[in-house]
Amino acid sequence: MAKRSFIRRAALLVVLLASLLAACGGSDGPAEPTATPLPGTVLDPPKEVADFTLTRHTGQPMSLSDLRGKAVMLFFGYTYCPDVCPTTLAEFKRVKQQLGADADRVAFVFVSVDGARDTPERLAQYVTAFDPGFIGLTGPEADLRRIAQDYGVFFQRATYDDAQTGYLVDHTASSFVVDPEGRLAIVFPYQTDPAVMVQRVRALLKRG
Amino acid sequence: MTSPRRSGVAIALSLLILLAILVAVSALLLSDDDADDETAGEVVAIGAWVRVVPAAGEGALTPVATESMGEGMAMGSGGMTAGAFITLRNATGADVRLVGVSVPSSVARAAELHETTVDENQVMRMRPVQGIDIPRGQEVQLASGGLHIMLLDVQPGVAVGTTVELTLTFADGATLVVPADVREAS
Repeated sequence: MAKRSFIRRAALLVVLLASLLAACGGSDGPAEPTATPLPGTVLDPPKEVADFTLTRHTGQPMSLSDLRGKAVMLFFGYTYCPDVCPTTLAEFKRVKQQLGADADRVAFVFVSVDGARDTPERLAQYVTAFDPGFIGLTGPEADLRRIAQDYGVFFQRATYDDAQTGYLVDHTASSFVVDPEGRLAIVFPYQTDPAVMVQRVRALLKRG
Repeated sequence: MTSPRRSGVAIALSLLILLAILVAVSALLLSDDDADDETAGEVVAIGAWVRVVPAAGEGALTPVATESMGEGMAMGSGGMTAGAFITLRNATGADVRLVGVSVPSSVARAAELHETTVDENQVMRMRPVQGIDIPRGQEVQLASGGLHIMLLDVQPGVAVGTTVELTLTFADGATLVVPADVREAS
């Protein structure tokens, strides 16, 4: 054990020295990381998007315009999606927590791309597991497709003979922010840091 | 007397040589370290866990029109899909291939090996994969956003804080039973 610990320490020292040398080496070392802009695309001016009405997870109809006056964070997904969708909803949960009091001015909406299987009841179970205030919306496939197109969201069923999943749905994994006036204002790529989303959404709320 | 420019080049060169030596030595030391780990002679599973969407709170489920329900879909607190994640370290001394995974029927209806990819247009795709190669002496991570295990129709008893057993099957027929902690998706 003592030997291994020594080796680890020696290796660490070597790595530290090497990185120090690399940092001093100017053009010989690896290029300095340049300051990358915050991820996410801010649409300026915001894009007009059509209002839509779907079925809320509570069973009642709900329109995007019902949320006028709030910023709306939208994600398109489906409840059978075990990886990307829970990851994003968990990020939304963190965004909401980090927004603190400002969270009252933001709605979090999960729009299904799998109307055939995502019933309001199933959506209720799914979205409220992340936060009781999250909203799930579903509806007929044709409506979902029309809405998705407005946001540049692609989705398509994929079936596999050897899979017992029934079908999977390939879909755009970006998140969207609709401003309090109901226009598409920001697009975040998949796995944007929640702190960045908070920063951008706060800026949007200030503007309004 | 060398010019400042030339001595600068000389210093840079000697630093580079020193760096090369240090990197070579550290590589040797590190590979020695790896060799020690391989004496275990098996595939080691590290940090296995299952990410579930927990059962929603009481007030969350409201009665909805049953006509909107899917065809014969079983509802309740179970029935969701879940991802299972794990790091596999191959210390067998030979290349191995993970070809399947199973769970007891009390955990989920089925388990499959899947891979998530997100392309340059932000389109997420999930695909079942036939197998996952784990080269000799290497680690493969089954993690969110990449290779993972998908559990279908998770049963209601699979609650946060419990442990489930994943049975991994390798191409040579060997199996490995791995306890996995059930945690919340957050």
